[in-house]
Amino acid sequence: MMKTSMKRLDLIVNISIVSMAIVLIIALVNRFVSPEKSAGTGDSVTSVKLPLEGVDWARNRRTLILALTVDCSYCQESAAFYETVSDQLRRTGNGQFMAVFPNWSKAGEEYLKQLGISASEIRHEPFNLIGVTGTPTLILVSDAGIVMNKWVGKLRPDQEAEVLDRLQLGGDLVAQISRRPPVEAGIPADLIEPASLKQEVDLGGGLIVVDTRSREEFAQGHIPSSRNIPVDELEVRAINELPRSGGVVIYCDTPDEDTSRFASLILSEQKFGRVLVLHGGLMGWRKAGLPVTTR
Amino acid sequence: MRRAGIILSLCVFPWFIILSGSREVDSRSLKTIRITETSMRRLATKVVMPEFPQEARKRGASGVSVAELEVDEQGDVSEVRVLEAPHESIKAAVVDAVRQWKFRRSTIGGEPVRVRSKLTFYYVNNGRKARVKNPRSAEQYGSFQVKE
Repeated sequence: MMKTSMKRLDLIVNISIVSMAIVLIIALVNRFVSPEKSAGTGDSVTSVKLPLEGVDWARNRRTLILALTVDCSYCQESAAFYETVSDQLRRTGNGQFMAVFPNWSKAGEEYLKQLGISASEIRHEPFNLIGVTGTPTLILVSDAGIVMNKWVGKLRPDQEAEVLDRLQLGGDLVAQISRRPPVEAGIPADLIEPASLKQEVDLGGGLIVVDTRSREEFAQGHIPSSRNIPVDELEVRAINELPRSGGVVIYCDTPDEDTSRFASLILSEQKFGRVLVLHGGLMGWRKAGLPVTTR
Repeated sequence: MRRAGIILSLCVFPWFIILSGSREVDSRSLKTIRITETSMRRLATKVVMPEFPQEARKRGASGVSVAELEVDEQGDVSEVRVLEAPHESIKAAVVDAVRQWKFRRSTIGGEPVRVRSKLTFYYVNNGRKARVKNPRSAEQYGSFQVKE
Protein backbone atom coordinates (compact mmCIF):
# COMPACT_ATOMS: atom_id res chain seq x y z
CA MET A 1 0.00 0.00 0.00
CA MET A 2 2.78 2.33 1.13
CA LYS A 3 4.79 1.39 -1.93
CA THR A 4 1.91 2.13 -4.28
CA SER A 5 1.38 5.59 -2.75
CA MET A 6 5.09 6.31 -3.05
CA LYS A 7 5.03 5.30 -6.71
CA ARG A 8 2.03 7.52 -7.37
CA LEU A 9 3.68 10.46 -5.65
CA ASP A 10 6.86 9.90 -7.60
CA LEU A 11 4.81 9.88 -10.79
CA ILE A 12 3.06 13.14 -9.82
CA VAL A 13 6.41 14.76 -9.02
CA ASN A 14 7.83 13.63 -12.36
CA ILE A 15 4.81 14.96 -14.24
CA SER A 16 5.11 18.29 -12.37
CA ILE A 17 8.78 18.59 -13.28
CA VAL A 18 8.13 17.79 -16.94
CA SER A 19 5.18 20.23 -17.17
CA MET A 20 7.19 22.99 -15.52
CA ALA A 21 10.00 22.37 -17.96
CA ILE A 22 7.53 22.56 -20.88
CA VAL A 23 6.03 25.82 -19.55
CA LEU A 24 9.51 27.26 -19.14
CA ILE A 25 10.55 26.27 -22.66
CA ILE A 26 7.37 27.76 -24.15
CA ALA A 27 7.94 30.98 -22.21
CA LEU A 28 11.54 31.20 -23.40
CA VAL A 29 10.57 30.46 -27.00
CA ASN A 30 7.86 33.12 -26.90
CA ARG A 31 10.25 35.66 -25.47
CA PHE A 32 13.29 35.14 -27.64
CA VAL A 33 12.34 33.23 -30.76
CA SER A 34 8.92 34.65 -31.63
CA PRO A 35 8.50 34.82 -35.39
CA GLU A 36 8.98 38.19 -37.02
CA LYS A 37 5.95 39.73 -38.71
CA SER A 38 6.53 40.04 -42.40
CA ALA A 39 6.60 43.59 -43.65
CA GLY A 40 4.19 44.37 -46.42
CA THR A 41 5.69 45.01 -49.82
CA GLY A 42 3.99 48.36 -49.94
CA ASP A 43 6.09 49.57 -47.00
CA SER A 44 9.08 50.67 -49.03
CA VAL A 45 9.14 54.31 -49.98
CA THR A 46 12.37 53.96 -51.93
CA SER A 47 14.72 51.17 -52.89
CA VAL A 48 17.81 53.36 -52.64
CA LYS A 49 20.42 52.43 -50.10
CA LEU A 50 21.00 55.17 -47.57
CA PRO A 51 24.48 56.60 -48.28
CA LEU A 52 25.79 56.66 -44.72
CA GLU A 53 29.37 55.51 -44.53
CA GLY A 54 30.58 53.09 -41.91
CA VAL A 55 27.15 51.85 -40.82
CA ASP A 56 26.74 48.10 -40.64
CA TRP A 57 23.01 47.94 -41.32
CA ALA A 58 23.02 44.15 -41.16
CA ARG A 59 23.93 44.20 -37.47
CA ASN A 60 20.36 45.23 -36.69
CA ARG A 61 17.06 44.08 -38.11
CA ARG A 62 15.90 47.68 -38.19
CA THR A 63 17.52 51.06 -37.71
CA LEU A 64 15.42 54.05 -36.78
CA ILE A 65 17.12 57.32 -37.60
CA LEU A 66 15.99 60.53 -35.95
CA ALA A 67 17.15 63.62 -37.83
CA LEU A 68 16.95 66.63 -35.58
CA THR A 69 18.49 69.96 -34.66
CA VAL A 70 19.05 71.41 -31.23
CA ASP A 71 16.78 74.38 -31.89
CA CYS A 72 13.83 72.38 -33.22
CA SER A 73 10.85 72.94 -30.92
CA TYR A 74 8.84 70.08 -32.40
CA CYS A 75 11.73 67.71 -31.66
CA GLN A 76 11.50 68.76 -28.03
CA GLU A 77 7.74 68.34 -27.97
CA SER A 78 8.04 64.80 -29.36
CA ALA A 79 10.84 63.86 -26.95
CA ALA A 80 8.60 61.62 -24.84
CA PHE A 81 7.75 59.48 -27.86
CA TYR A 82 11.39 59.24 -29.03
CA GLU A 83 12.37 58.29 -25.49
CA THR A 84 9.80 55.46 -25.47
CA VAL A 85 10.91 54.18 -28.88
CA SER A 86 14.66 54.31 -28.13
CA ASP A 87 14.08 52.66 -24.76
CA GLN A 88 11.93 49.88 -26.25
CA LEU A 89 14.39 49.23 -29.08
CA ARG A 90 17.19 48.86 -26.58
CA ARG A 91 15.17 46.57 -24.32
CA THR A 92 13.69 44.34 -27.00
CA GLY A 93 16.68 44.25 -29.33
CA ASN A 94 14.31 44.86 -32.27
CA GLY A 95 16.65 47.44 -33.74
CA GLN A 96 18.90 50.38 -33.08
CA PHE A 97 18.10 54.04 -32.62
CA MET A 98 20.40 56.51 -34.36
CA ALA A 99 20.34 60.29 -34.03
CA VAL A 100 21.61 62.48 -36.86
CA PHE A 101 22.46 66.16 -36.53
CA PRO A 102 23.32 68.34 -39.55
CA ASN A 103 26.52 69.79 -38.10
CA TRP A 104 29.12 68.59 -35.67
CA SER A 105 28.49 69.99 -32.21
CA LYS A 106 28.86 68.68 -28.70
CA ALA A 107 25.57 70.35 -27.95
CA GLY A 108 23.81 67.57 -29.88
CA GLU A 109 24.83 64.89 -27.42
CA GLU A 110 23.93 67.04 -24.47
CA TYR A 111 20.61 67.89 -26.07
CA LEU A 112 19.71 64.19 -26.45
CA LYS A 113 20.68 63.54 -22.83
CA GLN A 114 18.54 66.44 -21.74
CA LEU A 115 15.57 65.01 -23.67
CA GLY A 116 16.16 61.55 -22.18
CA ILE A 117 16.74 59.93 -25.57
CA SER A 118 19.30 57.13 -25.60
CA ALA A 119 20.71 56.79 -29.11
CA SER A 120 23.05 53.89 -29.82
CA GLU A 121 24.85 56.12 -32.30
CA ILE A 122 25.00 59.87 -32.88
CA ARG A 123 26.15 61.07 -36.29
CA HIS A 124 26.69 64.40 -37.95
CA GLU A 125 25.66 64.30 -41.62
CA PRO A 126 24.38 66.82 -44.15
CA PHE A 127 20.61 66.38 -44.18
CA ASN A 128 20.38 66.43 -47.99
CA LEU A 129 22.57 63.31 -48.00
CA ILE A 130 19.83 61.33 -46.26
CA GLY A 131 16.91 63.12 -47.89
CA VAL A 132 15.81 65.11 -44.86
CA THR A 133 13.87 68.26 -45.68
CA GLY A 134 12.62 69.24 -42.23
CA THR A 135 12.99 68.33 -38.58
CA PRO A 136 12.19 66.15 -36.88
CA THR A 137 12.29 63.35 -39.43
CA LEU A 138 12.17 59.66 -38.58
CA ILE A 139 13.63 57.24 -41.13
CA LEU A 140 13.17 53.50 -40.83
CA VAL A 141 15.97 51.58 -42.50
CA SER A 142 16.08 47.84 -43.21
CA ASP A 143 19.01 45.56 -42.48
CA ALA A 144 20.10 46.12 -46.10
CA GLY A 145 20.30 49.88 -45.59
CA ILE A 146 17.14 50.53 -47.63
CA VAL A 147 14.74 53.25 -46.49
CA MET A 148 11.42 51.58 -45.64
CA ASN A 149 9.47 54.50 -44.19
CA LYS A 150 9.89 58.15 -43.53
CA TRP A 151 7.86 60.36 -41.19
CA VAL A 152 8.38 64.12 -41.30
CA GLY A 153 7.37 66.56 -38.57
CA LYS A 154 5.57 66.05 -35.34
CA LEU A 155 3.62 62.82 -35.41
CA ARG A 156 -0.05 62.31 -34.74
CA PRO A 157 -0.95 59.44 -32.36
CA ASP A 158 -1.88 57.18 -35.28
CA GLN A 159 1.48 57.91 -36.93
CA GLU A 160 3.28 57.16 -33.65
CA ALA A 161 1.41 53.88 -33.58
CA GLU A 162 2.53 53.23 -37.14
CA VAL A 163 6.17 53.76 -36.14
CA LEU A 164 5.79 51.31 -33.25
CA ASP A 165 4.06 48.87 -35.56
CA ARG A 166 6.89 48.99 -38.11
CA LEU A 167 9.40 48.40 -35.35
CA GLN A 168 7.26 45.58 -33.96
CA LEU A 169 7.10 47.29 -30.60
CA GLY A 170 3.36 47.76 -30.49
CA GLY A 171 1.86 44.58 -29.10
CA ASP A 172 -1.76 45.06 -28.12
CA LEU A 173 -1.33 48.79 -28.00
CA VAL A 174 0.08 49.24 -31.43
CA ALA A 175 -2.62 51.55 -32.71
CA GLN A 176 -3.63 53.05 -29.45
CA ILE A 177 -0.78 55.14 -28.18
CA SER A 178 -1.52 58.71 -27.30
CA ARG A 179 0.82 59.70 -24.53
CA ARG A 180 -0.13 63.35 -24.48
CA PRO A 181 -2.94 65.51 -25.81
CA PRO A 182 -2.42 65.23 -29.55
CA VAL A 183 -1.03 68.36 -31.12
CA GLU A 184 0.26 68.70 -34.64
CA ALA A 185 2.11 71.67 -35.98
CA GLY A 186 1.21 73.59 -39.07
CA ILE A 187 -2.27 72.20 -39.68
CA PRO A 188 -4.10 74.63 -41.94
CA ALA A 189 -7.20 76.13 -40.36
CA ASP A 190 -9.67 78.92 -40.97
CA LEU A 191 -8.91 81.68 -38.48
CA ILE A 192 -11.25 84.18 -36.90
CA GLU A 193 -10.01 87.39 -35.30
CA PRO A 194 -11.02 88.07 -31.68
CA ALA A 195 -12.99 91.20 -32.57
CA SER A 196 -14.94 89.36 -35.29
CA LEU A 197 -15.74 86.54 -32.90
CA LYS A 198 -17.01 88.99 -30.29
CA GLN A 199 -19.18 90.62 -32.93
CA GLU A 200 -20.61 87.30 -34.15
CA VAL A 201 -21.33 86.09 -30.62
CA ASP A 202 -23.01 89.38 -29.75
CA LEU A 203 -25.18 89.09 -32.86
CA GLY A 204 -26.27 85.63 -31.68
CA GLY A 205 -25.45 83.89 -34.93
CA GLY A 206 -25.41 80.45 -33.33
CA LEU A 207 -21.64 80.11 -33.16
CA ILE A 208 -20.50 77.66 -30.47
CA VAL A 209 -17.22 78.63 -28.80
CA VAL A 210 -15.18 75.73 -27.41
CA ASP A 211 -12.27 76.06 -25.00
CA THR A 212 -9.96 73.06 -25.50
CA ARG A 213 -7.78 73.67 -22.43
CA SER A 214 -7.97 71.67 -19.22
CA ARG A 215 -10.82 72.08 -16.72
CA GLU A 216 -8.44 73.77 -14.28
CA GLU A 217 -7.33 76.34 -16.87
CA PHE A 218 -10.92 76.94 -17.93
CA ALA A 219 -11.93 77.60 -14.32
CA GLN A 220 -9.25 80.27 -14.02
CA GLY A 221 -10.76 82.35 -16.83
CA HIS A 222 -12.39 81.82 -20.21
CA ILE A 223 -14.27 83.60 -22.96
CA PRO A 224 -17.85 84.35 -21.83
CA SER A 225 -20.40 81.84 -23.19
CA SER A 226 -17.65 79.39 -24.21
CA ARG A 227 -17.85 75.77 -23.17
CA ASN A 228 -15.00 73.57 -22.06
CA ILE A 229 -14.17 70.34 -23.87
CA PRO A 230 -10.51 69.41 -23.22
CA VAL A 231 -8.78 68.48 -26.47
CA ASP A 232 -8.26 64.83 -25.48
CA GLU A 233 -12.03 64.46 -24.94
CA LEU A 234 -13.06 66.18 -28.16
CA GLU A 235 -12.87 63.06 -30.33
CA VAL A 236 -15.64 61.41 -28.30
CA ARG A 237 -17.62 64.39 -27.04
CA ALA A 238 -17.83 66.60 -30.12
CA ILE A 239 -20.37 64.56 -32.08
CA ASN A 240 -22.41 64.02 -28.92
CA GLU A 241 -22.49 67.61 -27.74
CA LEU A 242 -21.88 70.03 -30.59
CA PRO A 243 -24.19 70.80 -33.51
CA ARG A 244 -22.56 69.89 -36.81
CA SER A 245 -24.12 72.83 -38.57
CA GLY A 246 -24.02 76.42 -37.41
CA GLY A 247 -20.31 76.78 -36.80
CA VAL A 248 -17.81 76.05 -34.05
CA VAL A 249 -14.97 78.30 -32.92
CA ILE A 250 -12.12 76.63 -31.07
CA TYR A 251 -9.53 78.28 -28.89
CA CYS A 252 -6.58 77.27 -26.75
CA ASP A 253 -3.50 78.96 -25.33
CA THR A 254 -0.73 77.10 -27.15
CA PRO A 255 1.65 78.99 -29.48
CA ASP A 256 0.43 79.29 -33.07
CA GLU A 257 -2.93 77.81 -32.01
CA ASP A 258 -1.45 74.30 -32.35
CA THR A 259 -4.00 72.61 -30.08
CA SER A 260 -6.93 74.40 -31.71
CA ARG A 261 -5.67 73.53 -35.18
CA PHE A 262 -5.50 69.87 -34.19
CA ALA A 263 -8.98 70.13 -32.66
CA SER A 264 -10.27 71.66 -35.91
CA LEU A 265 -8.87 68.64 -37.76
CA ILE A 266 -10.83 66.30 -35.48
CA LEU A 267 -14.03 68.25 -36.08
CA SER A 268 -13.48 68.41 -39.83
CA GLU A 269 -12.95 64.65 -39.95
CA GLN A 270 -16.23 64.28 -38.08
CA LYS A 271 -17.93 66.30 -40.83
CA PHE A 272 -18.53 69.48 -38.87
CA GLY A 273 -19.48 72.18 -41.35
CA ARG A 274 -17.91 75.48 -40.29
CA VAL A 275 -14.90 75.12 -38.00
CA LEU A 276 -12.88 78.21 -37.08
CA VAL A 277 -9.82 78.70 -34.92
CA LEU A 278 -9.51 81.83 -32.78
CA HIS A 279 -6.42 83.67 -34.03
CA GLY A 280 -3.96 84.09 -31.16
CA GLY A 281 -6.09 81.97 -28.83
CA LEU A 282 -7.08 83.25 -25.41
CA MET A 283 -4.00 85.47 -25.31
CA GLY A 284 -5.08 87.16 -28.53
CA TRP A 285 -8.55 87.64 -27.06
CA ARG A 286 -7.11 89.25 -23.94
CA LYS A 287 -4.72 91.41 -25.99
CA ALA A 288 -7.68 92.74 -27.93
CA GLY A 289 -9.04 93.99 -24.60
CA LEU A 290 -11.97 91.58 -24.62
CA PRO A 291 -13.43 90.22 -21.39
CA VAL A 292 -12.87 86.84 -19.74
CA THR A 293 -14.95 85.31 -17.00
CA THR A 294 -14.52 82.64 -14.33
CA ARG A 295 -18.24 81.79 -14.23
CA MET B 1 6.17 9.43 1.62
CA ARG B 2 8.53 11.84 3.34
CA ARG B 3 11.01 11.54 0.47
CA ALA B 4 8.31 12.44 -2.05
CA GLY B 5 7.27 15.42 0.05
CA ILE B 6 10.84 16.69 0.16
CA ILE B 7 11.27 16.25 -3.60
CA LEU B 8 7.99 18.03 -4.25
CA SER B 9 9.00 20.93 -2.01
CA LEU B 10 12.37 21.18 -3.69
CA CYS B 11 10.70 21.29 -7.11
CA VAL B 12 7.88 23.71 -6.38
CA PHE B 13 9.29 26.28 -3.97
CA PRO B 14 12.21 27.55 -6.07
CA TRP B 15 9.79 28.17 -8.94
CA PHE B 16 7.34 29.88 -6.63
CA ILE B 17 10.07 32.18 -5.32
CA ILE B 18 11.46 32.91 -8.81
CA LEU B 19 8.05 33.62 -10.34
CA SER B 20 6.74 35.75 -7.47
CA GLY B 21 10.03 37.66 -7.33
CA SER B 22 10.05 38.43 -11.04
CA ARG B 23 6.44 39.58 -10.93
CA GLU B 24 7.31 41.99 -8.14
CA VAL B 25 10.16 43.48 -10.17
CA ASP B 26 7.91 43.77 -13.24
CA SER B 27 5.09 45.60 -11.48
CA ARG B 28 7.59 48.09 -10.03
CA SER B 29 9.03 48.96 -13.43
CA LEU B 30 5.76 49.13 -15.35
CA LYS B 31 5.14 52.05 -17.64
CA THR B 32 1.84 53.88 -17.80
CA ILE B 33 0.51 54.70 -21.24
CA ARG B 34 -2.29 57.14 -22.00
CA ILE B 35 -4.72 56.08 -24.72
CA THR B 36 -7.85 57.58 -26.25
CA GLU B 37 -11.32 56.73 -24.98
CA THR B 38 -12.17 55.03 -28.27
CA SER B 39 -9.19 52.72 -27.86
CA MET B 40 -9.94 52.14 -24.18
CA ARG B 41 -13.49 51.08 -24.93
CA ARG B 42 -12.17 48.63 -27.53
CA LEU B 43 -10.06 46.97 -24.84
CA ALA B 44 -13.04 46.51 -22.49
CA THR B 45 -14.16 42.95 -21.82
CA LYS B 46 -16.70 43.80 -19.11
CA VAL B 47 -18.77 46.96 -19.14
CA VAL B 48 -21.02 48.06 -16.27
CA MET B 49 -23.20 51.10 -16.88
CA PRO B 50 -23.44 53.59 -14.00
CA GLU B 51 -26.77 53.99 -12.26
CA PHE B 52 -28.85 57.14 -12.29
CA PRO B 53 -29.14 57.88 -8.54
CA GLN B 54 -32.62 58.66 -7.26
CA GLU B 55 -31.43 61.91 -5.73
CA ALA B 56 -30.01 63.13 -9.05
CA ARG B 57 -33.23 62.10 -10.88
CA LYS B 58 -35.36 64.05 -8.43
CA ARG B 59 -33.23 67.14 -8.86
CA GLY B 60 -33.51 66.87 -12.63
CA ALA B 61 -29.76 66.45 -13.09
CA SER B 62 -28.63 65.83 -16.65
CA GLY B 63 -25.44 66.25 -18.61
CA VAL B 64 -22.05 64.71 -19.16
CA SER B 65 -19.92 62.79 -16.70
CA VAL B 66 -16.25 62.14 -17.43
CA ALA B 67 -14.14 59.73 -15.41
CA GLU B 68 -10.40 59.25 -15.58
CA LEU B 69 -9.22 55.72 -14.89
CA GLU B 70 -6.07 53.67 -14.67
CA VAL B 71 -6.02 49.99 -15.57
CA ASP B 72 -3.32 47.75 -14.17
CA GLU B 73 -1.31 45.10 -15.98
CA GLN B 74 -4.00 42.49 -15.20
CA GLY B 75 -6.72 44.52 -16.91
CA ASP B 76 -8.36 45.57 -13.63
CA VAL B 77 -9.30 49.15 -12.82
CA SER B 78 -6.87 50.35 -10.17
CA GLU B 79 -7.90 53.99 -9.96
CA VAL B 80 -10.99 56.03 -10.88
CA ARG B 81 -11.53 59.76 -10.53
CA VAL B 82 -14.60 61.61 -11.74
CA LEU B 83 -13.59 64.87 -13.40
CA GLU B 84 -17.05 66.15 -14.17
CA ALA B 85 -20.61 65.17 -13.26
CA PRO B 86 -23.97 66.94 -13.29
CA HIS B 87 -24.66 65.96 -9.65
CA GLU B 88 -22.54 64.91 -6.69
CA SER B 89 -24.38 61.57 -6.31
CA ILE B 90 -23.56 60.74 -9.94
CA LYS B 91 -19.85 60.84 -9.13
CA ALA B 92 -20.22 57.93 -6.70
CA ALA B 93 -22.37 55.99 -9.18
CA VAL B 94 -19.77 56.39 -11.93
CA VAL B 95 -16.92 55.32 -9.66
CA ASP B 96 -18.91 52.24 -8.54
CA ALA B 97 -19.61 51.20 -12.12
CA VAL B 98 -16.19 51.91 -13.65
CA ARG B 99 -14.44 49.97 -10.86
CA GLN B 100 -16.24 46.87 -12.15
CA TRP B 101 -15.04 47.26 -15.76
CA LYS B 102 -12.48 44.74 -17.02
CA PHE B 103 -10.04 45.22 -19.87
CA ARG B 104 -7.71 43.14 -22.00
CA ARG B 105 -4.15 43.18 -20.74
CA SER B 106 -1.99 45.63 -22.63
CA THR B 107 1.62 45.28 -23.64
CA ILE B 108 4.21 47.24 -25.57
CA GLY B 109 6.99 45.18 -27.08
CA GLY B 110 5.83 42.24 -24.99
CA GLU B 111 6.14 44.20 -21.75
CA PRO B 112 2.97 44.70 -19.69
CA VAL B 113 1.91 48.31 -19.23
CA ARG B 114 -0.63 50.21 -17.18
CA VAL B 115 -3.13 52.20 -19.20
CA ARG B 116 -4.75 55.55 -18.41
CA SER B 117 -7.73 56.95 -20.23
CA LYS B 118 -11.08 58.62 -19.80
CA LEU B 119 -14.66 57.35 -20.03
CA THR B 120 -17.63 59.53 -20.88
CA PHE B 121 -21.27 58.93 -19.90
CA TYR B 122 -24.34 60.99 -20.71
CA TYR B 123 -27.06 61.41 -18.11
CA VAL B 124 -30.29 62.11 -19.95
CA ASN B 125 -33.26 63.28 -17.90
CA ASN B 126 -36.34 64.76 -19.52
CA GLY B 127 -38.47 64.70 -16.38
CA ARG B 128 -40.42 61.57 -17.29
CA LYS B 129 -37.59 59.29 -18.26
CA ALA B 130 -34.06 59.26 -16.90
CA ARG B 131 -31.28 57.10 -18.33
CA VAL B 132 -27.52 56.82 -18.74
CA LYS B 133 -26.02 56.50 -22.23
CA ASN B 134 -22.64 55.72 -23.66
CA PRO B 135 -21.39 58.31 -26.18
CA ARG B 136 -22.12 57.73 -29.84
CA SER B 137 -19.03 56.44 -31.58
CA ALA B 138 -16.93 58.91 -33.54
CA GLU B 139 -15.61 56.16 -35.80
CA GLN B 140 -18.53 56.32 -38.17
CA TYR B 141 -17.36 59.82 -39.04
CA GLY B 142 -13.89 58.61 -39.95
CA SER B 143 -11.99 60.24 -37.12
CA PHE B 144 -8.73 58.60 -36.09
CA GLN B 145 -8.49 55.77 -38.53
CA VAL B 146 -6.52 53.48 -36.24
CA LYS B 147 -5.49 50.02 -37.33
CA GLU B 148 -6.41 46.90 -35.42
